[in-house]
Amino acid sequence: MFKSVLRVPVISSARPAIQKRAALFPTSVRLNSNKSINNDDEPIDLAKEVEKIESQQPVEIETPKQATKPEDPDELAQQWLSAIKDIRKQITTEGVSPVEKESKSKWFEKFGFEPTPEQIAKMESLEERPIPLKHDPVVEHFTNMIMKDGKKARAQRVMNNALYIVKLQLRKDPVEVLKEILDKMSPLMAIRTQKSRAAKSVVMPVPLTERQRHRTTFLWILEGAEKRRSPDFEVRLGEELIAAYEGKSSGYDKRLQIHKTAMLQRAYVKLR
Amino acid sequence: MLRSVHFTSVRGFHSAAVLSAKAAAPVKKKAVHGYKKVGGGQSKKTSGVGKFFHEYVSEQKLDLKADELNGVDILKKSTKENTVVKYSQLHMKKLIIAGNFKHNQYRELFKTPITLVTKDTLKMSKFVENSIESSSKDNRICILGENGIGKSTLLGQTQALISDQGNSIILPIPYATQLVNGRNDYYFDKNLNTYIQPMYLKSFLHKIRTINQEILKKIPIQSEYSFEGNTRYKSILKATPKRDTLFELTNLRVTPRQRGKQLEAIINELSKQSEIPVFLTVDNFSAITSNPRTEYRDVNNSKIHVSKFQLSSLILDFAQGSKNFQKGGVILVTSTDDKPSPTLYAGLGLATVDPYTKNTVYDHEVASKLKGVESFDMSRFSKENVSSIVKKFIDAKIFNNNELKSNSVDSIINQKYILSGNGNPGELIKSILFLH
Repeated sequence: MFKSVLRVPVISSARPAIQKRAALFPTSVRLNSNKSINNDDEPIDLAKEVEKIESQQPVEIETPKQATKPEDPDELAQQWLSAIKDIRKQITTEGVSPVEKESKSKWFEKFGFEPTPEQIAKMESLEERPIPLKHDPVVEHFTNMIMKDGKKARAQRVMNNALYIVKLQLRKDPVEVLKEILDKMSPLMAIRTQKSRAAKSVVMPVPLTERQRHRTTFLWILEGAEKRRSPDFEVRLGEELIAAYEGKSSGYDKRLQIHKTAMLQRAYVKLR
Repeated sequence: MLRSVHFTSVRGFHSAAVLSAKAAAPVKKKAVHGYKKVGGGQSKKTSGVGKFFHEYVSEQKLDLKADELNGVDILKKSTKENTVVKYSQLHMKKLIIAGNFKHNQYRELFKTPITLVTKDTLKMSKFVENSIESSSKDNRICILGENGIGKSTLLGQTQALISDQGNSIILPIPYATQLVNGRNDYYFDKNLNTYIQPMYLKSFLHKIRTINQEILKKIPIQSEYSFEGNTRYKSILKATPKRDTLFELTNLRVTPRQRGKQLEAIINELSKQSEIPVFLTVDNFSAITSNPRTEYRDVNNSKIHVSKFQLSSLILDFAQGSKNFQKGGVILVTSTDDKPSPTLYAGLGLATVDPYTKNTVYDHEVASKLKGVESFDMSRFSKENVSSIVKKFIDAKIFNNNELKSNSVDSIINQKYILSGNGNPGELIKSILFLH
């Protein structure tokens, strides 16, 4: 347990250098050292120093008092629950803002900027709107799949050029085209084999999340792109995306095959 | 050491029937169609266009798939600032032959490429007006600017404005890098005492002939010239005064070895005449100043200096003013593709060079020839310019739908102005196209 009173010796003001060192580095003095600690010429009589310290009265430092804890565990639990309820209520009513309201006015004061009422109104209207994402998450996912050896800029260039070809050929928004391809081509299930105990493997259809579905489609598109003729990857990818949009990609056959197998093996679907 | 192979013609000692037997017919290999398989397991690539990205984008005629943009006027001398314009069909034809359109200018987005008339365009319009009535020695300009700011586009606009005058000749060199990068054939002409690049000259003469066809027919030649013919039946080709015009002179099919002489004759005739203004336009001129010691090598395997080539020295002479047209101008355009060299900036008087700078870095001979050339630093787009371009892009349905839904037009303009680095046109187009 903590002691309520600590004995802190007050060292005399005669040797400020020693005081500082002692205060900063209490264990820095080597006991078996022949050298004196201070650089002064006078040798130190340790016995006298100890006498001085002992003669002085100890200074009392009060430790901060801890909040009283209820001894009953039920009461303690009740306190916790009420605190959690308060916080939840605060979050639901006021919301969590990374920048506090008070700090904005402080920032204006700091930079000597006085916003006009129009600017304040605009600022408040914009507060409700979410910060827009830098990249579309679907495009970002595909870019990350194209990336090799962590060369993201190169992957982004390939992706941009491929989408540019899509835009030029179809004269449509390429991101929307990509999303439409994903809707049409993505499989709903994946087929996985599992070994049963009776030395027999069971083919099992497994449902996929949206991200997993997209990933499978991207892999099929990349596989189809590799079979094309152009020496530039962006052209191969762009052509494959256009073919996929027009329903000519080999990915559709794969999707159909998976769905057929899943239907046949539907008895093994695990339902939780 | 003597071996049996050395005595193939000598009859052998043995006379077995096997030796006198006819040799077996070689086994015919089965013809393999299509592409060879590389690396064993790789599948045959059959579908798709086998082109690189820039080739694909520029050669697949993708511009025909775009809708025609309404409400865009044709570029003229009287066009006001901050208006989006397009080129007329005649201008387009000339600019394409002149090689003005580059791969990375995104012109395939529109059916006919659009440009914006800025204050720089108006300055160049004034420059053209002045140079129509004065010597090319007084009208020498070098266009400078950062990457993507529109130097080549401004040159295209200037060429369109020149051809809009109706009575002037353009000598276009669209890519001066080709003069120094060692990719063309070359030989030393003893009569002219310079190196000649016959195949490059062929395309250059073709450009001069096709762009200025109508005007060249109006200029009668003043001296007589004779060349070796390229065909068997006409061994000597002649261009005589009072009978032939400059068009006939450019149209002569001379041997490749005589093309240097032909070019010299054309330049000689053009500089003699005083009625029609002549404009020499050089894009990527900084290739010459950055690489004065070219990639071409002489018989001693040392690099040949750029001034020893006929066409390069001609450009430098016109830039210097030692050779000049009686009416016309010289327009040099730099490029950021070439490494920055102090030769250009010191030559234009924009920088001073340390006297201990190495010859490999600073070429005094080239720099001294650029004295007196006016430097023209291009400025970025203003916010008004950005807004007019963005509005045209919205009309052409180039913006992504999501971006248009979530923002108002004003906020898009503000965003694009900042994203384009306060008005860099190249960055502006990239921010519109490639921010998915």
